[in-house]
Amino acid sequence: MADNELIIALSKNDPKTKRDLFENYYQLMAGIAVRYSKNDAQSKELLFAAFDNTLQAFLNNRSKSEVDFDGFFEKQFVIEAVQFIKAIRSEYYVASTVYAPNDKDKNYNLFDNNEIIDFNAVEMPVLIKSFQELVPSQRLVFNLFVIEGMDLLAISELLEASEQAVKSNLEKARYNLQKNIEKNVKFVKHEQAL
Amino acid sequence: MSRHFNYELDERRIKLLLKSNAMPYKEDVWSEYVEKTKPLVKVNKIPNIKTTVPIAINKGVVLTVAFVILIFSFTFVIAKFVDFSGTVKNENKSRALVPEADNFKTTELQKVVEPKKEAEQKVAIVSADSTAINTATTQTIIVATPTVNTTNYTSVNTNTTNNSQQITSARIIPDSVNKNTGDTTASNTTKINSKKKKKTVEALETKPLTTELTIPAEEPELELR
Repeated sequence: MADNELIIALSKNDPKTKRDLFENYYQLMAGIAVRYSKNDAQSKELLFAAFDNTLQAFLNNRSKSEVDFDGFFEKQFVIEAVQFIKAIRSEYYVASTVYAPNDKDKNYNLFDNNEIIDFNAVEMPVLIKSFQELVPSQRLVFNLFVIEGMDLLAISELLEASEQAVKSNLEKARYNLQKNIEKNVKFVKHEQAL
Repeated sequence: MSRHFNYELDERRIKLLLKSNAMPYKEDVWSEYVEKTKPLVKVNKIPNIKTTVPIAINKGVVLTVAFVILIFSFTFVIAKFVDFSGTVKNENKSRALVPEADNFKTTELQKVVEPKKEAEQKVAIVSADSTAINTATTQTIIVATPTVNTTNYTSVNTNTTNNSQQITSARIIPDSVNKNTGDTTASNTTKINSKKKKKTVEALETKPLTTELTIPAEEPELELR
């Protein structure tokens, strides 16, 4: 479908066109939504909201949108995902809970921790889970810097934070991601052993 | 962060993995999306409102009603004292702008030619009143003999029209009345008078000093022991 036809159909709020677009871009949208959110439920919410906002943005900027729809859609969807997470970020301050470790769960086997983990052989579910366990700010920064390939300045402008804060969050995200991967790999191995 | 932390993650690989993460499309997701983004249907059905409103008249209701009546009555009484008519009138009153003829009168500037101020003339005005002031100067001229006929002169200021002339001339007019008294205070302070009144001072006899004060020429010297 040509861009002009698409614009006309979207402006008329044609359900068929919307569904076609949803179907075509679902893989891309779901992939982005999963790594920007903390769980599956949130990823769905993010997907729906970001999809609507992206289409709206496309209609608003149709005079400027001389570029191809695919490129515009992916870029705009990432921005909308970031905005979604930013908007609900406040809930983390209230809902965050710290659980005290149970002594019974403690493992005093010193040789257990010396297990060598091959980070190149990490499976996708483990990686996604480790991603989702990150703090939202760290998750956003890591996604934007590593996956999207944005520079620190652009990220700081998008997140409305200082460049130093972004850099700090990135370092923390790297550290925490590795730790999360280690933990989750061990957990999977432990489950498999059982 | 721990000091022994070694970052071992391969970010390129993670990027490729996550970018190529394919999620299969499901029909359920679309239906879920449609449900969530469903526009709100207007409810045309008006719910039945109970016509009979049970009102239990108890102490609380009565007190509330009484209080409300009290408040309104007070408000009414206070409002009676306030005169709102003035403000209404002021609002409605539109002042017509009528030009007054007096405001637009053309006034001709009258050229008042003032005579140039004459230069200050230094006139020694001698008057009868000035005698009291000038007594201090005239005291030195007191003559010992009271029988001196003093002629009082009065200087009359001549009205000179010559501006350039700063020094004024004083016409000396001899006083017709001769005052044969020792009162010289009536005399003028003019130089002429002072010069004339100067008299030779009478020399008084000097008394010789007492002999007691004189030191004897021959005084015995004290012997030093």
